[in-house]
Amino acid sequence: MDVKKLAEEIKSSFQEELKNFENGNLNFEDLKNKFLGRKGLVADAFSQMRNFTDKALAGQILNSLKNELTEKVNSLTENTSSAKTKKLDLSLPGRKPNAGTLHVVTETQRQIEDIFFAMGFEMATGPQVETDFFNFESLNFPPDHPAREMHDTFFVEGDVLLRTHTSNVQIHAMKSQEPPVRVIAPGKCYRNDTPDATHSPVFQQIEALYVDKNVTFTELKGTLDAFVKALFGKATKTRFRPSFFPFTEPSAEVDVTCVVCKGKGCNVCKQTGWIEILGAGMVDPNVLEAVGYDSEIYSGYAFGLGIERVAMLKYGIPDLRLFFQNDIRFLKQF
Amino acid sequence: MKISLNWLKSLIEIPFDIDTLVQKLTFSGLEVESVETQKPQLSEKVVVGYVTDRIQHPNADKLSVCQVDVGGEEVLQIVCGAPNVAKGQKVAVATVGSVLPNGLKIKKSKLRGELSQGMICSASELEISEESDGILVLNEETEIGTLFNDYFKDADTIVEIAVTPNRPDVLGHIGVARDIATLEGKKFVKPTHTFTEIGKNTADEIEVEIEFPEGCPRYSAKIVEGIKVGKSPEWLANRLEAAGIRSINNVVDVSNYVMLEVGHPMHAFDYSEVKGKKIVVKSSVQGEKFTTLDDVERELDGQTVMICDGERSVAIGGIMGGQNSEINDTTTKVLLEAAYFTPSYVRKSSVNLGLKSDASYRFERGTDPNATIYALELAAKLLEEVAGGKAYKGYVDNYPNPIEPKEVKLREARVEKILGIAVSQDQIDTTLDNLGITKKSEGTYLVPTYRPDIEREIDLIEEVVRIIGYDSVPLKKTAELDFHSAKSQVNYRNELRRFMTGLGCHETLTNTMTTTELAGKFSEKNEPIILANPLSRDYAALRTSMLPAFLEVLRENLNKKSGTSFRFFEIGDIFYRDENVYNKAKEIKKAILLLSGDRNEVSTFVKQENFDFYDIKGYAESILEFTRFKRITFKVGQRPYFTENCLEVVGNGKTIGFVGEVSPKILKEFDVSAKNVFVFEFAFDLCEKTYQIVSKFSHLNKHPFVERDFAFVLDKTTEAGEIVEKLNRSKIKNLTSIKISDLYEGKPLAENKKSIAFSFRFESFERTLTDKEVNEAMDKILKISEQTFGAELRK
Ligand SMILES: [Zn+2]
Repeated sequence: MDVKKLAEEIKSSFQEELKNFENGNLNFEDLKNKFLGRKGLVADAFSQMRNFTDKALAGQILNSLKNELTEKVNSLTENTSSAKTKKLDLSLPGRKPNAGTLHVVTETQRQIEDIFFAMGFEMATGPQVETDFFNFESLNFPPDHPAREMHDTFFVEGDVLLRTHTSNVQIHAMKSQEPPVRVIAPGKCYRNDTPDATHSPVFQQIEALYVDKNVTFTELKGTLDAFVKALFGKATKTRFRPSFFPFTEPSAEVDVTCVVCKGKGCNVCKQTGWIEILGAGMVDPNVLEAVGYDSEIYSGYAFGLGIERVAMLKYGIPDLRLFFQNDIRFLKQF
Repeated sequence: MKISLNWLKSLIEIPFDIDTLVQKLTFSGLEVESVETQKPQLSEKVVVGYVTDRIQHPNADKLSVCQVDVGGEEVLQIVCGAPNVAKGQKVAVATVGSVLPNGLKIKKSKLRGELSQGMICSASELEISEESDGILVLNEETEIGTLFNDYFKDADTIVEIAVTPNRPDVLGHIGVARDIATLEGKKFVKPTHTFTEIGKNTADEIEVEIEFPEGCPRYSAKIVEGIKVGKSPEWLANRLEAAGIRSINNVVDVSNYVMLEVGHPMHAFDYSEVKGKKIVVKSSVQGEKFTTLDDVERELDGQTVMICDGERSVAIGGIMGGQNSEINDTTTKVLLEAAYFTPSYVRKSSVNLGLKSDASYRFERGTDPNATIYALELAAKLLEEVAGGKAYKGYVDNYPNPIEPKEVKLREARVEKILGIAVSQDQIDTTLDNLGITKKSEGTYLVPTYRPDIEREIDLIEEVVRIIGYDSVPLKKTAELDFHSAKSQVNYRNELRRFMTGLGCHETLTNTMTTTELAGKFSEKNEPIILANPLSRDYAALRTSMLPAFLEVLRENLNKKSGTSFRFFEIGDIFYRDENVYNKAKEIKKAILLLSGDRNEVSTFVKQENFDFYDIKGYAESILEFTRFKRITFKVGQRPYFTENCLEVVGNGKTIGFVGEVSPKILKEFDVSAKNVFVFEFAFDLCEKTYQIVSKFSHLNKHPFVERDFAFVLDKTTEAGEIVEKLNRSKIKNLTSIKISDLYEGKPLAENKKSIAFSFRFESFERTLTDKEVNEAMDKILKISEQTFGAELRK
């Protein structure tokens, strides 16, 4: 038998079966076994070695055939490995790891903080359990003054109470450093209000304070305008109404373009196109003097807003109590 | 404060419509909360008609057929069912095409065979009154054919303003009128009042002594006799009602009217009940009892201002009169009081007594001490007009230390310094002058006593900007940015929150307030913070642990069947008493993670599996690793609310928190229906301090590592962690990690045995290790394990 002829036959048979494989009529394993398997054509050719006259040549030819086919088969494995797996039902869902979520109130807080950080404000903190001095007296609420009625206060004992606003941080911040001071202070506050859709005994405020030489009312207006545009969108406008807070003068309540109807008038804004979200004002000289700042040299502004209220407006959440129920269907939305 | 528009118009001309007025008030600091008009807003087809004839309906006993002239070309025929309809009446007619407030459309129709071209209306059908008895009969002089809405042209509009505590001056219509005038660039002049006085002198019949001038700096009085107590005329009752005060009788109404116009409360005593022709103002005696007008006997403290006659107390100064000297039907002679009480005294007494009144509301904010005589003048005039009163001559006015207008300085430059815009000296002067704040000399102004809130330069600046309008101040942002702060915010809080969401957890927001019981029960030795005036049982203390709130969140979710797999986390605070700090409180930042239910939501490839202890432990390890603790270890721990499956988590040698399985007992107490609840609670503050962004790169090892396995057979009681810890501490050369690769219990092992397979990795950063070195290390591991734990190699 002619070893060369045998090798040629095997080769051409391989070419033919390769076509079958490429057309999908033969699978990879069968192809491989037919030629390179233990009982395959190549092995079979080797087993006939003793029948060949020039054994050395036959060995050489068969080895190079084996190498050639092995290489071809291996290149098939690399190029068309999919050929060896079955086709998947790609419409089945993936193994999805659970995606966690942030609470909408803390997320709103972070958005607000980020705007102020970008404006150069620093973070300040103060205690939630506070004394009358920091919560009221140093903020120019005289004892026995009806202004205190604006805050339904929880008392602990003696002069200790739960802070009714984050404005106590103004005093802590100013007492601990010389001007300029430019801080924000987010945190929980407490008022003795029965919980309903818009009230909660525990709520979160964010306070901002800037004291320096030459801080003016125009600056306050400009900063707040920039802030609400960053938070609610560029078309948002502000409107200032005179009001009264003991620790600022002049004081203002600040309305912004209704975030729901963009100022056209809707139920949320009671058809006015405006919603009140901030209290603001120029730091009262009595407050500056209470922390040892010279009110002739320094002036400042302060403002505060309720974080839950912003979240309710921004996301159209109708009831404050949803925030504290922590229903996972609610939590997963944000 | 409810403002009657009619009342306001009697004091000042208002040259604009109600919407403009609302805008002007709101933008000058008198925020309008609501506007309510008493004028009906009916269809324009409701008109005034005249009943020219009325006959009995031929086919119905209870109906009339009326001919009604509504000023049109023809007289209308209307069938009416009201018994009181009669010829010659002026009535309200809803003509064909009108729609009544209740939605009824008026059509031409036939009623029992008779044509009806409209409807004669009752007051309730027009919704101008809640009930009515038959049709509404109008004033005879009303013109036929006029719009019914115009019949009420005098109807009032009530504007409710939210008065801030600093503005007692606008607690009367005069004060509001003054602000409106100023906004119009005018100066308000208050009306003067004239009345007749008879020959007798007030001073002959009453004497006023003030023994307590701190509480009552001024007491003015006047006597009016010839009074006939009765119903107030309609205009007076209407005005009071518009302002939200019920009409009682003409004398009481007059004193309320004066308060609502002038802003100064006053009181009327039945003179015959004032013993000894004498009023003495004194401080109450501790424990004294006194019955007020509202029939309540009250116990007084030792510093309330009491108005007494020669024998007894007759009123609580500035708060409420006494029952013993109340105006009654037989009263003919009254003693009118207009006094000035010190705000802080009134406030203290009002709070202590738990008694508020329209008078105390004004006095505690500060009334005008110099308005007492003006108030008495108006009262005398009105009593003459509505009760036949005859005023005695003069006043008794005890005012030992008159309160003068304050001098307040204002620098023009300072206005610009605060507001950021220049306001001319002229504009400042005019604005202030219109408010009644007169210029005494250059830079010095006299502030009238009705503005107790204005004491300092800043107060004047506020008045200026309030009147010129906040809108006239431009927006400006001039502050130069400095970047030192923004970038130094290494924010572990935000990083951790994001990391937790990456681990599939949902952030919650729970309440820091709780019940006293839970605050006590979950506190570790420390005393909780309990409120003196709790809102309710649920809001009575500050929490000492975040766990109770988390169990409640889980319970609510389970009850609502809102999901099957729960991973909740939160960063929050807990509170303890701490006597060593000024606010007697310690606030600690904590974080908590709770796992319960399915480990993953069940789907095609995910079989239902419950969270178990190793999940929570794994989360804890992951969180601590993220926080960059260099060394994390776990010790057997114990918490009252966890089962024995509880570990104390130690990071860098400090206790960071606990992981554990919540005990069935606690779950039952919280009504949590789940069985597998696992919690990791940890000290957020310690983690925040530890957290740092990795700042240095570690070189990768260029030399290959060698891994070798051992499976040990051990007593069941031996814990894997003990072996790992022991081997780690034994400083075995080149050993860089130990992993537990398999656990086995059961045959062919003995009942009390188990097998643990370990995988040890050896590597050196200097060179490739030889077999000999690794074999020596493995021998050492085997030896230590045999000696310490009785371990045998598993064959
Ligand atoms: Zn709107």
